[in-house]
Amino acid sequence: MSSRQLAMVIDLNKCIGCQTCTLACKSQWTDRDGREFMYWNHVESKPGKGYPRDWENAGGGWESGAGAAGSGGDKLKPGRLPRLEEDYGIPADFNYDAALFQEGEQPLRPMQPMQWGPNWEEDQGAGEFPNGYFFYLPRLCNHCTKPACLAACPRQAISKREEDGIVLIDPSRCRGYRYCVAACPYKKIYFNPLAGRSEKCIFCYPRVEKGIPQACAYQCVGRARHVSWLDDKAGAAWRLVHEWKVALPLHPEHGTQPNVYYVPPLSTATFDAEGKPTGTPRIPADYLVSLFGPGVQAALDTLRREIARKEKGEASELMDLLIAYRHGDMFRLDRLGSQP
Amino acid sequence: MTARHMLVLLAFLPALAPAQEPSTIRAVRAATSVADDPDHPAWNSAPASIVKLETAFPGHPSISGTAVTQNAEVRALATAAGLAIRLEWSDPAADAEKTQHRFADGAAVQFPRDGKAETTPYMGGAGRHVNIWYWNAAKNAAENLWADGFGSLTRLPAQDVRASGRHADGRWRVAFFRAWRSAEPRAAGLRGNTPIAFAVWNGANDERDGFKAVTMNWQSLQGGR
Repeated sequence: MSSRQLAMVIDLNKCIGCQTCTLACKSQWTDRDGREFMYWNHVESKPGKGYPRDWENAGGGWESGAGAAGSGGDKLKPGRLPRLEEDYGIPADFNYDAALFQEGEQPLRPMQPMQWGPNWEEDQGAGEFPNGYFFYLPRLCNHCTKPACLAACPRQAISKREEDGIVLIDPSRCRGYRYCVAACPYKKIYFNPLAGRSEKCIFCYPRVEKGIPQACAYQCVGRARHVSWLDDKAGAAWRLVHEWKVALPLHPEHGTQPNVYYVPPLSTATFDAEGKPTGTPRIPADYLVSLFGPGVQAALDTLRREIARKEKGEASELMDLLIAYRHGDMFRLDRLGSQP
Repeated sequence: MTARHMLVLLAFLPALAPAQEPSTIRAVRAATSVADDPDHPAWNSAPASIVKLETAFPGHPSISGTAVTQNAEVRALATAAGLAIRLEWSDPAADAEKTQHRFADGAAVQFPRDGKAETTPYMGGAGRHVNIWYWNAAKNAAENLWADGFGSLTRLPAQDVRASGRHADGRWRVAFFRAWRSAEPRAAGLRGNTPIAFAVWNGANDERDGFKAVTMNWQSLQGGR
């Protein structure tokens, strides 16, 4: 545990799946040197197997202990290593020359056959017409308070920074044993075969150290990502997580105590056989609980209540916070100015 | 060695088979330059010693499983230029590729830096470090390393060990070579008789790090310079 923790809140009601965050991250960190297949940040469509494929069934995290819910035990759960072609997807080249500059109508497509990729199940979702549903889930390293990856490394190559809680792999200590890849229940550590070591999201620490938000958050066109210190009571993370309790961790049952939080998605009502709205949200409540834990229902109730207020022309601090009228208000990274 | 590592060791000690007689590996003088060629005809003149390999102490909760390789054939040649050591062991498949989910085969030779058998052969200990020559099939090259306990393995600045492996007929043959003198102060001396230990990794069995087949005690290398 670090003395302070930088946290991110992602509002799933505002994510439009445009992958601007994905590309902001990729062009900054993972477009070269054996990282081409990696997406430190990606957006997947839910429900679905996600990226890497079936990561939710690939093990990792902590055995549930006797402690409070979500606090985990002290024994690591076994996990498996994702495969390149089948689970991540090859970093295929595209036929840009043929599609863009040659005669004839050639669609733009990968030049090698692909089996999987980030957001392979784009907009697929679940449910039957007219009650189909899906939503976008952006994912990155959760910079957990109790990181399973750190505990799994026999070489102490992974550390959690005291000053901001960012979890980093020391490339000079890592020898590519990949216990961390198996241990991460979010499968957000990637083995770089070219470098012979594992690599992951660094929460853009060189930017953060200069007070600049992470590339994924800063570039988000939907204004869906807030970044602040988890103990800064004026910051969005504290207000949304602790005050309003509308931002929840992903799969808290793994016990790693993730520090990326999600505002769960609201959804329109299903239609009955006569085509009339039933009042039941089309994203099943139990599915959201399986992702974000038991706090989902209360969070959705709070969101609906505050939306109703806003619709009536009343004031809603929560809605103003989530709307984020000013881009700059979404980020409070100044270490000195934002002490609680 | 941390207290936890010591506990792990102690937990395993009762399960240890009675210490086996260490094998003697006699380095035979060779006139030709063998270097790290695993197929050089000069190896035929060196006697083969069979060393027994067992699953190493795990040393960390992440490390579990039973290593596959049960023995290795070791030969040594003393040439004018330096010492050559060849390990040969059975492995039906060559795992020479490191992919996202696959591990490569490997082999290592370990010496106590001080040349004394009192240094623990389990990656050395505080103040008594070991020098390790590590070969990995993915790179087919050697790394010169040192360690003074579990989790401490570190690359040495001077990379003056060579190694080359060849897989044929379901067996790996890997030859290591180093000049008698090394510029690296933390390298093993190779003088006279020295304790020596071996390790083999089977990549197909996900062996890497402390998940490996090792000689459980020091063997004896005789005929170094």
